Amino acid sequence: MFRAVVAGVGLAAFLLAAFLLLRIMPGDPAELRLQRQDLGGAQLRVEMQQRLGTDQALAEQLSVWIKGLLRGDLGRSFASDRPLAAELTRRLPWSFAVGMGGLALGAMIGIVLGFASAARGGTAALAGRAFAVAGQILPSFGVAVVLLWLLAGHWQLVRPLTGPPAERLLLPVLVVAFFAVGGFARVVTRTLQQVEQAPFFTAALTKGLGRSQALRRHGGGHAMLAVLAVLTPQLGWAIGGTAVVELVFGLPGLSVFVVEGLRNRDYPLLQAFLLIAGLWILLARGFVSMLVAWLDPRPRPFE
Amino acid sequence: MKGLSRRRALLVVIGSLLPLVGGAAVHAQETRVTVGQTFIAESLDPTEGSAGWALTSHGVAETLFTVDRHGEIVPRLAESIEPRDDGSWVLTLRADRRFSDGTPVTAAEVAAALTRVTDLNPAARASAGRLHATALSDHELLITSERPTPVMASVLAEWPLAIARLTERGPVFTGPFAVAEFEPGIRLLLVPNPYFPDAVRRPAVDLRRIADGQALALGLKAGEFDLAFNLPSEALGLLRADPALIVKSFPVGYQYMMWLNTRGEPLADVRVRRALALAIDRDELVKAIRAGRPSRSAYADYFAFAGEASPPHDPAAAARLLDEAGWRVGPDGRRARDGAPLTLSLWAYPQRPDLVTMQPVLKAQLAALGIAVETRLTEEPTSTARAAAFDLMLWAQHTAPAGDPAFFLRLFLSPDAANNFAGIDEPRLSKVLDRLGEAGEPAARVALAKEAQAVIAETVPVVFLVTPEWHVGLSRRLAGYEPWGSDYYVIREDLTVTR
Repeated sequence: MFRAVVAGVGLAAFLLAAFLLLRIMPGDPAELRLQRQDLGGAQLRVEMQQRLGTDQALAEQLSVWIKGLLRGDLGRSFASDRPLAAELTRRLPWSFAVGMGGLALGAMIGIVLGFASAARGGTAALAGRAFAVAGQILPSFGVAVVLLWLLAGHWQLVRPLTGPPAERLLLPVLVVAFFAVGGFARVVTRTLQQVEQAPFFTAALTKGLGRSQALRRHGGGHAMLAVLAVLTPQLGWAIGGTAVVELVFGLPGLSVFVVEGLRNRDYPLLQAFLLIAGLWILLARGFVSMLVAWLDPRPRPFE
Repeated sequence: MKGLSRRRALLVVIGSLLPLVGGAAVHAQETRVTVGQTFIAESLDPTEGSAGWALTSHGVAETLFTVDRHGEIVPRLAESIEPRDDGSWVLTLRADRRFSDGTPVTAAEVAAALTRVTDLNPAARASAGRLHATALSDHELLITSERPTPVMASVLAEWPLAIARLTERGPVFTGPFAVAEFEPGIRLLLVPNPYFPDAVRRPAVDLRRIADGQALALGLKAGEFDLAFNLPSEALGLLRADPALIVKSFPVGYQYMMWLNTRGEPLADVRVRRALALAIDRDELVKAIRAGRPSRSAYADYFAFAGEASPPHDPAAAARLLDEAGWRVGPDGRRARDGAPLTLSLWAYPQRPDLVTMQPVLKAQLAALGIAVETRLTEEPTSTARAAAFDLMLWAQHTAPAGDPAFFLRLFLSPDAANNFAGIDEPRLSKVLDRLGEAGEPAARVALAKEAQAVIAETVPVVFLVTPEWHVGLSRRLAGYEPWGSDYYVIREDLTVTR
């Protein structure tokens, strides 16, 4: 209960800070909206500021936003005038599917590769290192375009731009997974290498277990904990971190929408996004904490 | 797009959508084409932002007048328009036109649409202010404007003035296609408007937004699109090598230009500005962007009012002018005056990749004259330009979107214009603009536009560089499609499938 209260207060403080920081950013949303229509002039700017509500004092703007939130109303986009709740509901599943799907696939491949690398080395170790290096040096835009060219343009195996949702999600998920695999593989390998140095592992070997078997049985829990430690900070990917793949594959996701919102200084959109992102990170971390407690292979007190 | 089962599914989907468009297109959709482009309407209401432009471009909305492929203003929903002595206009509508819900296009409907859009959308008031329209009969209406205009037909061809009829299900329009399904900014499913002539010849159109040009090109190569609009020039080789595809290039009404900030030294000196204009070799720019035509006019060549608004390439004359202005070449090959080097910032913006490609070419051309150039990028070009935070600013602009030359001159070159990027206040130009505001005869307007361009060539607030070409990729099904009109008329009534 106490932790929930602390988390709630923390989220409120974060949103308040975000509310103020957004308004400190240079750029007037009213002016930017007029510019997009080749319009200008003091009179029109004043009219637009009144329409958007940015002519009001900060306290008044904050009060309007909070009252809206209490009614479950996220407001309307400054750029399109459309209600944000519906827009975000439409876009969030795309970003979430790409982000979480990519991380899940990346984690699965990374775990398998990490185990193989620790157990046998050789090609698996080389592949793990290659993914880690490629994930650091290759631009995600380039990888996305190459995948699009090979799988859609050249071999015509999928229709990532106009196909049904599963087909549209396949390549974006692969791109996110590609960049996640290396990190997961490396951390699993490293953790298992540390496990190999532990006395309990030597004991397992002396009991007659093979190396691979001992690693799976006695290193699995440790490796999972390490994977969760790497995964937790990456959960932000799930919403907001996939703008490049959304752009390349023409997905109507949240991330690319937020990037446009940033360019347009679309305060209501950015505030709504930060609220959703904050809630998601709190929930995800809470879930991961529970998972960590459950997976922790160390003996529990009084057990 | 292929296979019997998909085709059947399509018929079922479209059949279920028909009630949404008021029973539109009963005969529709044995065929469907998929179109990829970088923009989709954000709204179906022309009072909102640039929705009128997008909906016209998508073949959904129409204006009373329009600009044809030769740049001429021609009637569309209107039949004719006549001025009256008191400055008002009497417009006669075509008698045979209907909205996509079957309602006839009457003077009362059009009057309501014009009044509403100019009341609610500031972009619709840019040329003549608010319009007040009243029906005189079923097909005649009287139009008065807040600001008098001698070219009401051109005003009524501007994209914000799309004619919409409000219904309980949302706005309906008169164009060759009607909206069956709409995801704002993402996807638009169109069916032929059954009340537009020859509806039976048109396919359904599935319009998708693909923001990245490379992805659009690869989608075309993969067979996902029948029409990919505005392809990047670097993808053309790949696409032209594919026998299943056709690539067509066409000149657009946009012009690439370079604004010169005249507010301070060194560009306050007209000799330096003229030297810069003379230093530019446009053929090299065209080679760099791999498409387009060198242009010294404020307007694309196909407009009758295209004139000479920039001097031709003459580096020797440029060097002489710089010497005259006191900017002399030093031992290091760079020009300086009183110990200060001649250094200019040259800005572009990534939203128009051609402009970024042109930056190093211009830098090299000016360096050959001893001028140092620092190239910079901005994500917010209008803000940068309006804040006068530049020396040279590359810019892409459609200079006559409604077929009239005054639009560009008024928006960018009058002293109090919102987009007076150059900070120019040239009385001769202002006088020509005043006369343009009064002249109604097309020939007189052409002459005045050319006069204005001559003043621009002399005073050099801006240098015109290139009329770009855009590229459209087509599957064989749309082999007969001919692109024209920039991005103002992409989906048109002549979009038919080749059998």
